[in-house]
Amino acid sequence: MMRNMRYKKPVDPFEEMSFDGAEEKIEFDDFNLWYGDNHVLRDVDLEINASMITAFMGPSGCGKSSLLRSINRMNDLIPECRYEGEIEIDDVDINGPDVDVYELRKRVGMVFQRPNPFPTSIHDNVAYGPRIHGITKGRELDQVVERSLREAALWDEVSDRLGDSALSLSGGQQQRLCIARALAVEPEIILLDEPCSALDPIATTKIEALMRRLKEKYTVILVTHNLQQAARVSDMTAFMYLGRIVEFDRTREIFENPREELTENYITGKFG
Amino acid sequence: MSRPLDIGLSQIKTLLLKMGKLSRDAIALAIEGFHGREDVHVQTRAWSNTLLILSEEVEYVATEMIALHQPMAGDLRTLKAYIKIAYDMERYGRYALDISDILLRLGGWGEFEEGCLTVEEMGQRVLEIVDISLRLIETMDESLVWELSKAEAGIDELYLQNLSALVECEGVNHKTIIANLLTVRYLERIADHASYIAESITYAATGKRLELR
Repeated sequence: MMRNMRYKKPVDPFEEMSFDGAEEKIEFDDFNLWYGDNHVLRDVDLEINASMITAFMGPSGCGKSSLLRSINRMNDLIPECRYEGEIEIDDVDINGPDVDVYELRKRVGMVFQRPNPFPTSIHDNVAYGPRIHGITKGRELDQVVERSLREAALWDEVSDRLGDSALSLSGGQQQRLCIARALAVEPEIILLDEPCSALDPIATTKIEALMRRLKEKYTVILVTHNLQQAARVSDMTAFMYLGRIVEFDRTREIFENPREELTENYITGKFG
Repeated sequence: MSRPLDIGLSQIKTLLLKMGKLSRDAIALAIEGFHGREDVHVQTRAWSNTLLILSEEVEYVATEMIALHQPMAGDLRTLKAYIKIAYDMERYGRYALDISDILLRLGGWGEFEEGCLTVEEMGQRVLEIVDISLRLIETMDESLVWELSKAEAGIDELYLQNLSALVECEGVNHKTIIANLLTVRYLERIADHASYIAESITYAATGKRLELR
């Protein structure tokens, strides 16, 4: 039939997800970070929305973990670390003089690459944070532990053995316990630093399903080397290289039709 | 250093070019057979079947590449385009077979008054557009997309003209009408698949979803 050339609007399954109207949670404004003379983050401008999973990906040494650790000021623990620029959470500069870093880390929970439960019981691992923050009554504490374990999709597997050592759990269960421990203090943001790199595919699937559930309530930020994992679970993806954000876009765009040649070369394995 | 994915993509491209040559030959033979009332359906059937087998081979290699190498970005788009193009090629072959089957089904037909229909010109133009689509696959030269689009519009125009002529003709043997009607329809569909190939190549090369209609 007779035709006219035009570009058609792609069918986008995420179209109804209004990124424009999404609530901004974290904003990096011209942020730079140094470890001594090593300039690890350069001119980072980034807006991260609430109730989404945002992935930071890039080759080793690109600065993705440093960027993640800047959000809860974990870099403060590194000697000779200094920064310029701002990071705001809910429009408040987290490096401002009035910010209580312990309060900040309560709002911004973190889960690391290798599961790191305390050598205590399952119950006490989850109860640790709330106890520090003043919840001491047994019943109230038990409720927090149950809620956190349920949110971390672990309750059904451990509810009859809360007194057992956390170290008796499998790797995947230990990682979900660490997520439950982070959730117990009711954070707003969850930082996940390669949370599945030490896990088998089944445990990885469970953690990824958990991430998708968590984004309904929390802002989730994920650092991953695993491109397929970023593609599977994140809504937005930032590709980093040599301390800079090269491209930040909807995950589908990044993986199907990236704007930058550097991104294309990285995700198609044509790098280096 | 070549990536395993490059080897697979190159393997598929070679298959597509082979399919392209085969389908082009099939269409040319079917058109020739139609105008000369020559029975060529055994040959076109054999080629059409080969195209089907090659199309399945493309799908097999592509699936293997998805399973083993998880292609992304340009690789993913190219692979998706190649799978669609293999189908378009298979359709080229199928329409060639359909044209050659007309003689088998009708046994023969008469002639229209000279100048009344432009089926011969349409056949020539269809071969040209098929050639453009094959050059597109080989070169991924986007400028050919515009050339193809123009050629396709011309074929559509001829199709509509022939359709009107067939509707309005009087005193013509019904087999003659059916034979020509089916042929112009099949030729028009071949041109449509050439457009789909252009859309696929554009998507693979640029990520843009083009619609040539």
